[in-house]
Amino acid sequence: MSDKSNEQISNLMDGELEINASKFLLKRMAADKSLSEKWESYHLIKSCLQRQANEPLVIDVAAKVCQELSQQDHLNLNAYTADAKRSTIHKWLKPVLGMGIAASVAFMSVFLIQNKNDAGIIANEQPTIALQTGLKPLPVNISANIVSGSQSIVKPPASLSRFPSVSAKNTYNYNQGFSQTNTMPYLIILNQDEAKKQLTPFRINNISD
Amino acid sequence: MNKKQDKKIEMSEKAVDLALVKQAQKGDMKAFEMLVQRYQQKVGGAISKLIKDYHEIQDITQDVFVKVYKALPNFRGDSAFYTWIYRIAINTAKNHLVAKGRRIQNSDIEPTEAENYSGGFENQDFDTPDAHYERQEVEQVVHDSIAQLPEDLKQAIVLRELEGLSYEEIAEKMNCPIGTVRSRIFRARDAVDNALKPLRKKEYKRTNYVR
Repeated sequence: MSDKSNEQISNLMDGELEINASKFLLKRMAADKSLSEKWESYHLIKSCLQRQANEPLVIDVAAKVCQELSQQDHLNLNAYTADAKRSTIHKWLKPVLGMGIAASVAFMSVFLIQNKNDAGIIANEQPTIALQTGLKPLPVNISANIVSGSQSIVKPPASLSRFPSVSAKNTYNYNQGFSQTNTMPYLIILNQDEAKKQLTPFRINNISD
Repeated sequence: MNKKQDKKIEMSEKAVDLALVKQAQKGDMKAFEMLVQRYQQKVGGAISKLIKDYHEIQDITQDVFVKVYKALPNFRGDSAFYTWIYRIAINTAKNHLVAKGRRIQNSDIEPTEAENYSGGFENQDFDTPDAHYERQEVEQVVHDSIAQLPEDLKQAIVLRELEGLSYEEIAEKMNCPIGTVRSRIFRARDAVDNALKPLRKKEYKRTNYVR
């Protein structure tokens, strides 16, 4: 234990030590017995000098208090410490929990709205597209080619198609599957000749039924 | 260089208390022990305004600090720590007197008045001859060693402990830098502490023997 530390203790008890040094010293004193003994001794000197003539000198209370607390109230001390820990946990748990709930509510609402919109869009757009082309809106990677007025063939992009010689047949089924089950779309693949034969049911008059 | 940058901000006595209280609230027993060491004399002094028996004073002081520890989670730091424990001390002393069926004398003493309040029983003998002798011996050593200090150290410690001046005020009064005041007060305390060492060893042997 250096003289510098003792001088710092002397300054600290008078409230004359710089803040950071004070914090550091308080931590050190909690761990270093010789430093805390100095603290006690300097306070005893202070007490002797400041004591009124009619007051008794009160010494040795600290050790007795700590002893009594640790014996008589061991369980309560543990409970108190646990309470203190719990309250610190609550401090950060509350906002995190709140944010979690908010995030899940937001996610759920976005999910539901998106589902509703998807269903709505398809339900609304189906007749319009059917009137024009007899087809539903197509996914980005699939192009719709208007063949002649109301007839069309759905072709997967060349890069994705494993069989470029074949083309899609019943696009109505494809869109129906997409809108109703909300699963991956499916395509019924036929030969080009066969596709031409199958295009007739896609006339406006047929679809409107 | 800028003066503001140069100036270091000290942790006031109240802030030191608060730092110790916060540590104690987290369950740090050592921090609480340091608080007790800091205020045991003041609390004992306040209780002695109402109760004259030394052993009762010791016991009640002990009770007060046990209560303080249990009530520590409720301390928010709105008032000074001593003001808070002073009220607990006075209430505990009053309850003690009521329990013993004794009359409460001058129960409305404020913390600021307590320092100079005599309670109407000056020069009373508080305790047993042994305890009284022991404390008298400690006090004698303290006062003797202060008297033997070099004049500059003596003046600094007296201005601080008896006059209650701040380091800055002492520096002005003694016409020296504040760093010198710090050093002088420390050296005075250290000299008295060295003089008390033999007594502490004796007391340690005695208390160990008794146990």
